[in-house]
Amino acid sequence: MKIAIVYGAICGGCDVAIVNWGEKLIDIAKKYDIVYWNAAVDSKLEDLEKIDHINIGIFMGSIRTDLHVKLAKLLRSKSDIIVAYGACASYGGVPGLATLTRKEKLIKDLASTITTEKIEEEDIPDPAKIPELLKTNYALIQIIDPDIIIPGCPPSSVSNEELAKFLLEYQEGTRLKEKIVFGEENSLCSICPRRPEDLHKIKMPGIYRLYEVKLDENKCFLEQGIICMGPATRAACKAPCIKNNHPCVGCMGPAPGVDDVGLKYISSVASLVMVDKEKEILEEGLAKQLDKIVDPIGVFYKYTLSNSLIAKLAKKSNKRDEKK
Amino acid sequence: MSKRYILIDPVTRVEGEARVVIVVNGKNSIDEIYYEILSTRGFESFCIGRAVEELPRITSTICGVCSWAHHVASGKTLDKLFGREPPITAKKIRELAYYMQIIDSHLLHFGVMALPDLVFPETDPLTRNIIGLLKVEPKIASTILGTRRYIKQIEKIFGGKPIHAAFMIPGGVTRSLKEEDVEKLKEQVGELKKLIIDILDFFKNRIVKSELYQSLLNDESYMLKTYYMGLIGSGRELTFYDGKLKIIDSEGREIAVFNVDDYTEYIAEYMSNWSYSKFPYLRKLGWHGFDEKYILRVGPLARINVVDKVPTEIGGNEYKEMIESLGGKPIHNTMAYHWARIIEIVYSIERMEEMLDDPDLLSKDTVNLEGEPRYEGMGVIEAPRGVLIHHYKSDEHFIATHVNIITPTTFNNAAINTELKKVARKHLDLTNGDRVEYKVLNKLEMSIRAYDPCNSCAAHVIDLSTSDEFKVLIIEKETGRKRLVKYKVV
Repeated sequence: MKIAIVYGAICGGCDVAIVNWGEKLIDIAKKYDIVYWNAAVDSKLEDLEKIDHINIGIFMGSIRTDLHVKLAKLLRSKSDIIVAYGACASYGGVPGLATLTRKEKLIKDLASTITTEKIEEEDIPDPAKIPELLKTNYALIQIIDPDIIIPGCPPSSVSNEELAKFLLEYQEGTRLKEKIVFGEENSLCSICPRRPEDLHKIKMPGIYRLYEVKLDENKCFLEQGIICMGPATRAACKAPCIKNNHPCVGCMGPAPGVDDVGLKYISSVASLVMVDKEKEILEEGLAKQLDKIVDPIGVFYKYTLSNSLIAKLAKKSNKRDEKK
Repeated sequence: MSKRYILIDPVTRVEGEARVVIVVNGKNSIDEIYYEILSTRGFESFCIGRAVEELPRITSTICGVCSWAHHVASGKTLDKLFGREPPITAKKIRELAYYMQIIDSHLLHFGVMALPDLVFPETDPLTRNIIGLLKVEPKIASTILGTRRYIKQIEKIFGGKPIHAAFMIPGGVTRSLKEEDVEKLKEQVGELKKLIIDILDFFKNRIVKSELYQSLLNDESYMLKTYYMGLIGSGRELTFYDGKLKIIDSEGREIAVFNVDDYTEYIAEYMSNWSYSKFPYLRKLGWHGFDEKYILRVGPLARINVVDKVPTEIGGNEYKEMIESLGGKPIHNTMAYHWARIIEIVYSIERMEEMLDDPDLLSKDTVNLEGEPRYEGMGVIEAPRGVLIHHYKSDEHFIATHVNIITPTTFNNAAINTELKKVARKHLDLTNGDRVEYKVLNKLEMSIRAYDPCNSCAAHVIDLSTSDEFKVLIIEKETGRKRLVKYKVV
């Protein structure tokens, strides 16, 4: 059988997560030919184009250029099973933070960094033209329909075990009855080693930014007043960040039943902060505390902005502007 | 005969998306070669407006192979922005953890990306990889895959996650190490060291002594006489986590030693419309295109060239041996990058072993929250591929207002482009019309791979003027017609 690993806009972390299978890679290579994987295998784009049929197509990265769209569609058309591997393919990932930035503004920012001194347009022949940036960043799932979604930045070792098992057990020609999302049908809080005093009545004493306090190594982050994305995030890891005394940043994407991570989060934070205070203090203090969330986009949508409700609304309003 | 084009699309066994376009003229000689980075995600743009304390987690995802390099460089930049000096324990834990990044990335590159070229470069391209290597050289291939287990476990102890760790915070690290952590680390580092020594032996006996590698080392086309830049420690020794930047010229003369705070005096960047990566150059020399006289290189070979010593037992001896056998410093042969990488792997594991006996590691004092904010910070680190600089400015609410990141692969971008021209002119036989053999094109890719470029890191962008109005080159898909469209930034 054949496996192809194809990229969108990547960082390479997903590649390393696959290499971290270590010796297990040997078992997988016994069952499958790895026909395309730029980081490790020497087949070129024209080789990929020539292949008629691929059993498992793994796509890593977000969709940022016209080339990525072409590759995603090419892989879908040849593959029985498509795996959206990692946060970028699943939800747009960190590059999705550019979703609300116009392409022209993005290029302008990159061209005006402090050391960029000399900018020149060279006369290049057509075949040397580079792929064009799309208007914005997309998740793979906005372009094609995958069969398996493996969230995570990068996917956790639990998910990788599960993927290896799937690949080793997979029988040629089998199609999935429904889309599978790796991870548990629960939020990260359900498996978190830090137990709040009362899981249903978490009290945030206020809101503190990460640089303001010494983090307690055992207490629930919310009870320390630190934004932790655990309640809105799928349990598809074993809480390694929290075990290392850093709040969850939400790389596993929305918890089951949550459509939009940010909206879910904002509504829950407002009901957790200073709930133990008197009504008057609460009303006045709450606004002040919520002001300390200086960058809700970067904190709540760090991995999921591309496919969020906000992105959809922004798209609509851009279209209206363009019509005008 | 009209112009024709030869493509290596994509360049493989490198990280990220890149290709080579060779323009051949009617007289069968090469007009131009482009090493192109094919995508950008725009970090320097979308990091603006972010709460700065989020940047170590965000910028880590610039690169998944050297995620720790970005994560740690970002944290160091925040130390300065917040004006906080990390406690000695935090510094030591950072330095210790960071050696693992060097080993991780170098071993991955050596085993998965480079080794097939050094063992069987002319084999069928579809088996010229780590899987093919398992059949030909099962022992070394499984040793290399075997290292992943230890690397992953060690990185988990420090960062929770092995890739895109949760480790750095302004003024320190997230948590203290427990005695059981250090015990586990000692055990894992000990096991990993055994494998590394096996890999060193393999490299010395099978690669260095091979005719193939020797011929590559003696091939003038894989050689650039350039400037070099790297960090040096307080004793001018090899260092990765911290130090001063040193630049030497192609004769080995010291041109400058400076703090990263002054980097803009020394470094500027050129930007063009055919790669999503910029081209840094030495500001005082100016940009002269792809002329090796003016080019700057970074990375393992540059580090070996700028430091005075490699202060561990095995690493130190290997360093001396390498210099002796290559006829002294500076070493200009790009294929020696591989050798330098092996020495750094050995040095790093020896340093880890030494540091694990340090009682300071166990102190609970792992973060300093005090300091006078500067609202601006520059941080530097030796990433596996070379000097990495982060530079942030913020407003009084610690929201990022300016972000500049220069990655090692960006630093080496001009060198890669320059060297490709030399290699292609020497090795490409263009008289047979359009058919160029894969194995010949692989000679070009071997030059690129020696730099271990991380094209995800390099991807920045292109194409415009600095005024409010700027132009974007549009090439119409159907007709291939080019036109310049002017945009106004609002």
